[in-house]
Amino acid sequence: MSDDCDTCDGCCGDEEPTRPSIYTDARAEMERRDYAKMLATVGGLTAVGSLAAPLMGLTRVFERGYSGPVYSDGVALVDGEGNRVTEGALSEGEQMTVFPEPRPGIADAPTLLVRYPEDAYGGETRMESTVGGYAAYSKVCTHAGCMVSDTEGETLVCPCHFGKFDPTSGASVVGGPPPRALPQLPLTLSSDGHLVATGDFEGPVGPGGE
Amino acid sequence: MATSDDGGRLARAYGWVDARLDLDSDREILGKAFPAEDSFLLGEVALFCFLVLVLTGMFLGFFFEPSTSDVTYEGSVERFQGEEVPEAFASVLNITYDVPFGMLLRRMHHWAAHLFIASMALHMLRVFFTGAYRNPREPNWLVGTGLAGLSMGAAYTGYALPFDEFASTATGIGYNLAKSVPLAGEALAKLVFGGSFPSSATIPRFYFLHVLVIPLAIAGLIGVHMLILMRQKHTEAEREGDVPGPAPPAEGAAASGGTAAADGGDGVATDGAGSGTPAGSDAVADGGVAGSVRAKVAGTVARDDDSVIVGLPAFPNQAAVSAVVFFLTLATLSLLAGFLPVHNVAEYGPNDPAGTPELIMPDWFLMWVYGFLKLLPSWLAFHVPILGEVNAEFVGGILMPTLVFGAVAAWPFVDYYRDPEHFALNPLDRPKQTAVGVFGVTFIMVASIAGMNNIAADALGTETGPVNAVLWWALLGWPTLCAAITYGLLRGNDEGPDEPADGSDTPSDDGPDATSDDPDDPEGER
Repeated sequence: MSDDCDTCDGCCGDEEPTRPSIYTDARAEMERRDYAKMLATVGGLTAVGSLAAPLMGLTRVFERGYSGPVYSDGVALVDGEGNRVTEGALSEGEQMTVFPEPRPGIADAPTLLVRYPEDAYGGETRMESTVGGYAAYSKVCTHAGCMVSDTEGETLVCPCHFGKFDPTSGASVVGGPPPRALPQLPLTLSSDGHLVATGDFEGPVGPGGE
Repeated sequence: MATSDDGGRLARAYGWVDARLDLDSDREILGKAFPAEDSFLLGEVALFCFLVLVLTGMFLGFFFEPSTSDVTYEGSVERFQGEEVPEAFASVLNITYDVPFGMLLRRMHHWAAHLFIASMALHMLRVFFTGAYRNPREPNWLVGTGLAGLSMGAAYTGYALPFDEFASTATGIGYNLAKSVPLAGEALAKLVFGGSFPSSATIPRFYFLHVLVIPLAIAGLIGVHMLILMRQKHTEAEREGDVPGPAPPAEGAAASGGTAAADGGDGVATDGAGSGTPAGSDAVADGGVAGSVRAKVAGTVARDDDSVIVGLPAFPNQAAVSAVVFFLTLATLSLLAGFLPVHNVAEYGPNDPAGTPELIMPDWFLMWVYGFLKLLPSWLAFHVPILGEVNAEFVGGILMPTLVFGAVAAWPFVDYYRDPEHFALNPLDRPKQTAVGVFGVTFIMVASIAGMNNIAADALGTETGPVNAVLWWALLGWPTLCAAITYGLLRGNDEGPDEPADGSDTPSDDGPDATSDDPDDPEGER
């Protein structure tokens, strides 16, 4: 104990130059100081770092992500005005934007409804999901989440980065940067002649998701 | 200070302040030397644009409502009357069409943002091509790079605020880019965009970033930029020969305010150069006057004496020049705002969640990033064991821009000089560095063209597919070619720094324009 005090004095005071050697006590004393420095550093960083912890709260503000299904069996398709889409809504070669009939918790799920002759479909189209020449795909581009709201001939084009999708082949990618096809929506005709979904999109909607 | 025979009241007022703040002791700041180079004024243009941005922004801030809740629009734009539109959109319509002078000031704010970034980019090119980033000015190059990044952030967050159809699309793309960052993406996106975009927190958060956080950071960095500049002094173009010592009135002029301002050409001030040589650091300690004194003792400033900088004194000569620059900037912005509509939100309409406008693209200064996004194919995606999926959006939208900014920041340490350099160089005398600069400029240009690939395709009467294929190769091929030609043309100049080979070939004098001329003379390439 008293030894420690002596060495401490020796280091901090003017006694040091008179010491014959840096070994023995002086060295031990330096180690102790290093240890204290380390503790102070770790403690200080922890204290400062703890100030950053509340930042995580920022990700929680106004959380309203929704990860459940968009469509489910029996949900009718409606147009922009909210009217149900009937069998004769489109003639062959036309397309329109439809939505799931509103339910609580779901804001927007824009869907592209296209109609072609039955035998025009091929490739990656899921034929069992089409009905009467109608096929429906998510309108959200799988690249950066813009709306695929343009066309070039029969090809669906996303105006943001010019990703291109072939609606007669399961909306598979035929150009540009998107990584995968627009997910298809399984359709059927209800007994009263409206287009209804028989389940959710057959793949994740929008960017990300594999 | 000044004797008070005339203007006694002014002198008394000065005396009152001086007695309290001891202004006299720092009077030598007024003698800081500004080399008389026109291209050195680009930074000032950027500074004045920032000032205009702050002032017009304050005006806009009084009226803008950062909320996306729907309100019934009842303003004077017929098209939207009675419609439910986001509050932010409605308030911007209100500023534009109902608040007196609102349209002018909003457009001025927008144009100033463009000019801010443009002048900053040109300023950086000037610094690059004249080698003004060299030791000891690397720190200020880094600060400047940070300013460029921040100003793009300010532009992006501001672009989103009206919540029109273009704004929401751009914000949506940004959200998906942020989300594509491996590992941290989800948290990062929620942090910046306020939960899953579009959420009610996105616009308030962007507003906060745009009017407080980013401007504060920019203002702080501008302050640091200026302080370093004061401390290190300007670079100066190579002198033609020995420069006669400062005219005696220069100092008096600084003190007596304005009488000698007219004789601009003669009012030469010298200034101790930055740290490095012992003499230099001496001068720094004593400010500009020390430099002048030194020079006066010597009688003239030797041609290669880099311990002093020759230029106009800050006051009154440079102050007059700056005033001219300020008013020209203001005049340019007023003219643009008065006659050229920009970002016409009434035409774009409010955010439509189910649609994307046909001709959508970002402002020009982000076009290169957009080009990366359009060019990079999805098969670039790869899987990294711990990080997870790394997709093409991340590579094009985050990784590549980061690498570009990183390369810019790292440049002074790549092109490193062991000894301090205080003379700006002629770009024609630095074949390697100029070639690298030409590579960078043309690379960004090709990427920007890729960002407009649909317009290019239209102009060429083809589709984006073949255009992309060409651009893919052009992205690296064209810059390499241009850099090689530049190097080939300038190689001979390396040894004889004093005389550019001949007046006719002046590539890279001002980056973009000149370089695109190069390939037209094929004999230049050997």
